[in-house]
Amino acid sequence: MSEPTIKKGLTRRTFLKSTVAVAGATALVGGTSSLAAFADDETQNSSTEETICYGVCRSNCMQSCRYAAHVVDGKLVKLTPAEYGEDLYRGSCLRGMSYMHRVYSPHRIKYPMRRVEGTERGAGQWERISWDDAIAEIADKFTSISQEYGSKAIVFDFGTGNYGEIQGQTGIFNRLGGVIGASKPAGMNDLATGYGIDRVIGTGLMYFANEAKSVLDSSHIVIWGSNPVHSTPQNWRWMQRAKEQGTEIITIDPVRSATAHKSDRYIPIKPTTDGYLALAMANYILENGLQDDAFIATRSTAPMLVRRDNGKLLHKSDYVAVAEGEDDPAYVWDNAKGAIALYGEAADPAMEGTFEVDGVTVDTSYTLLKNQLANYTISEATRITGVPEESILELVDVFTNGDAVSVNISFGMDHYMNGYQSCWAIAILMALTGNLGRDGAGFTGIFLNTALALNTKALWAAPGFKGMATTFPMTMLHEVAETQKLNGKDYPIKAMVSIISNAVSNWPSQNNFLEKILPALDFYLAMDMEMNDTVRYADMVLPVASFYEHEDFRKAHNLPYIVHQDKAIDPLYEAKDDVEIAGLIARAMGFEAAFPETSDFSTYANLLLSSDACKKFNVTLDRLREEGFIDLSLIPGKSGIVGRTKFTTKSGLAQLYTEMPAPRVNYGQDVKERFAKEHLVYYQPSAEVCEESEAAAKFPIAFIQEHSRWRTHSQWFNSPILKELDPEPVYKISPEDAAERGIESGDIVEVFNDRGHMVVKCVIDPSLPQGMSRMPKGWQREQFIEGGYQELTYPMHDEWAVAFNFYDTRVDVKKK
Amino acid sequence: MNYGFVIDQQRCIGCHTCAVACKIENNLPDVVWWNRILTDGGAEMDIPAGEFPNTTIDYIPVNCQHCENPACTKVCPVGATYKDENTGIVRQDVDKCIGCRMCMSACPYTGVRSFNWEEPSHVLDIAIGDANAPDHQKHTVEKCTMCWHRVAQDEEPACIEACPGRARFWGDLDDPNSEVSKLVKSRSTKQLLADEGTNPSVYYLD
Repeated sequence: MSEPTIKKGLTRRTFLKSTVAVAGATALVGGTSSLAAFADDETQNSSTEETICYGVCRSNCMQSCRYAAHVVDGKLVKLTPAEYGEDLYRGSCLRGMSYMHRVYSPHRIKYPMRRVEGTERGAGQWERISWDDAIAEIADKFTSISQEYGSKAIVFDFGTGNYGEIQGQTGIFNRLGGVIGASKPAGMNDLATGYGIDRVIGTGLMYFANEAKSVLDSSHIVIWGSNPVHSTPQNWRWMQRAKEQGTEIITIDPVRSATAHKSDRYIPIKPTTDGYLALAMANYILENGLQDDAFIATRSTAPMLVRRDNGKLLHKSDYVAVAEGEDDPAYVWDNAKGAIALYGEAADPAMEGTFEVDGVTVDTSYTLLKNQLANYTISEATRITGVPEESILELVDVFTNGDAVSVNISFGMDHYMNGYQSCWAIAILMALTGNLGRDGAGFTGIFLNTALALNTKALWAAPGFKGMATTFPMTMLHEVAETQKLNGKDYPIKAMVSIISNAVSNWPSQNNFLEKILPALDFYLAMDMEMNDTVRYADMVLPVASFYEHEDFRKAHNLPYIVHQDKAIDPLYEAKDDVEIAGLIARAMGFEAAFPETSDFSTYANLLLSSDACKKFNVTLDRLREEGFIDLSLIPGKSGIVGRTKFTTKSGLAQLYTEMPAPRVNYGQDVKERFAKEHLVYYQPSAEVCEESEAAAKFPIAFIQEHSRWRTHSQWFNSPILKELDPEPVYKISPEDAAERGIESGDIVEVFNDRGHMVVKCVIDPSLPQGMSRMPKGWQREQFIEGGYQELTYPMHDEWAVAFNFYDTRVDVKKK
Repeated sequence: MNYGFVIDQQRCIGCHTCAVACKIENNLPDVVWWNRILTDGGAEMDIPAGEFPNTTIDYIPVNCQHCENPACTKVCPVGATYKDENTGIVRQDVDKCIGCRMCMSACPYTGVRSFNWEEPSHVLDIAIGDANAPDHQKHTVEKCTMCWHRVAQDEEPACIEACPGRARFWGDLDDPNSEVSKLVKSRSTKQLLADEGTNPSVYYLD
């Protein structure tokens, strides 16, 4: 741990008395520029010592603010924003700064507890048990279930409550799950955005964003379906700076969000139709020759030839044998010689055209895209999106004439059934206008550092490693649990443990969890700090250490750093950290080889930091402890830009045509039907919110879960200090929808659909158009008058994106 | 010297972080807030005025305005609230305060002061914030001290470093070279209830 700073202080009373005296003697010091002279006299009687440790907030806002933890007498008394290398990366928020209200909350879970035998799950009847008894019971349940039904009958559910590399989501419990051989349903949060953008720039699920400060180089920032003022204020800080130096900010959103209010221009759009808008703009741009020809020619796959007979690119391997692992470039048409040439070898590659090559008809990728986009017109876009033609053309002007356009995109569009198509379409628009891969141009959102690969394998793959089965996604767990079958074959599910996860609250279709998953389980274990929905329905709960009660480090999502967490205070009550809990369970189950008693945090940290990239950047645990954070910038002083020299696609180019589309998760679904359609970007209406849906006829109001400043998902749901400002759940409705139903602000309403309901206070909100409603996310069931908002969401997913669709939800409302 | 605040409303996103930092720094009792973020828009917090899509909203962080010509100091019968001539900070000496609340009724900035009707309670059972922050006493009036305990040690008030939007500034308004003076000079500003004649030391940049 870095050398703590000791600050000698005064007691509250001595200083108070002294300031009274000083106030009467101002004449004595009149004219000095500082009051420090007063204080110097008073510090002699210091009776408290403050130690300062450093740490990093690890909640799922993903912004990684670094804090100084002020500790007096072993108590965390204050958190203040701490420096990174760059002033505007010093972040803070009301949640991070008030974290001690969660540490010392009267609602904190103090010791292991078991549901009283004979009482219902969720009835709130708990008995205190010892750690020894708890561990023995957990080991016994897991072992016996494993023996009777196989280890996959135990489900490890990982949430996003802690992004620490060892104690968090991707940390030590993966080692335990791996040696047990448990099931780990494939995660589905926030993955459609990245899946869609990946089609074009190959950035996987989460690596599409440029560094936040890159917007200082943007001529325009288009905030598309995200609300950074509330959900990523640390990024908004940079956008505000850009705005002050002349960057224009345009927000496209169905709701006049906090960000829309701060923007130069606001373009309202019907929810879920963003993809159509982007495709119609792209088509208009091509039809009118406004595209960036140089970018298309040099940085995209435009000239690559696609075979009509099988939909694949025409490759070198179509003619000569190419060894596995060897480069297999595609062919282009060389106008200079009227024949094909390997990419990069043509004197005059044709961007467009259809050709016959050895009896096979081929088109350039660009031609296929152009033909596809021709289906999307401005007039139809106006009808579908509700955006007037002149606004669309103004947006076209921004993308075609702006020097560098960045699109701030997060997970607003992501949360609908057609989320990946929307984001894919926007990525295509940016490729055709050359707004990718250079200073100020590209996506922003949550920047993830790709430079430092950690040795996850060393942490997870312990001696005896069996791996975890991720054969089906989270939305299918209720089906598998209810039928005890997957794709017609036996798949028993008997136990589940929620790790840093409030699954009952944060998985869609809450009633499925309560009515289908829970009854199938012989044992449900929760580990948490507070009595959230998940803990309330569990059979046993273990008290876990808070962010400041253990050592850890994280690759700072959103920032170009890896940053250390000092253990600032001891765990309160009987809380333990994940390293200790995982070790106790593992050894009780007989996995000593994977979790020897002698292994501690440092052991696992050193395993994870034993990668080539860590060597290259000289990232060691000692250095993290000593320096607090390490800069991982690739080009010092320059923003991290995705695709600065090449994109992470196979060809290194922006892909206009997807040769081998693949679903995000293969769980046995039929992918043949849509395969042919997945080569070229297209629009697909959302399942429920789109105006033509079956649900629209019955439920006229769309409902979204607003990401507000008060909570990160469900974390901080019971923070005493924040609840003074934001005391209860509030459902927000448009003035028109309220008037039609005789609802006034302050009324209690029932919000309902065929899946569930909530009874809650209502407020009329003119930032909503008719037909839209919203509610700040994170409140727990017992904070509602009846029901809860997560009862309203559906459990279906798109078979290719396999992501949660929280916002694709329709409801109706009535006054209670 | 005349310490004051400048608050950039363009930068302020109404996030309440400054209010929370203040409450923690000063270990404020339950329900007591010295710094509150008012919504300038609709009737409820975070709700704008107007009709979709042409709605408007702004945020006004309001704490004691540390007026040049304070209304409160004139009515205090015991001199518990007074303007510190050396700093311009309007002080509230809880040891002298007799709880008459005359200052609260005289102050035009409703809500910047609060009165402890009961023994102040704290939901946490540990004292948080700065050890040198003032005590909270039953039957006394309290308000923003401009973090006197920090200013006395050459530190800025806690709300300044807490602001994620870098919207809050603090310094000597009498010093023409201070950041706050330069901001007041270079931008369009307003003071709250300017016609009350109190001349607040808090300037809002439009």
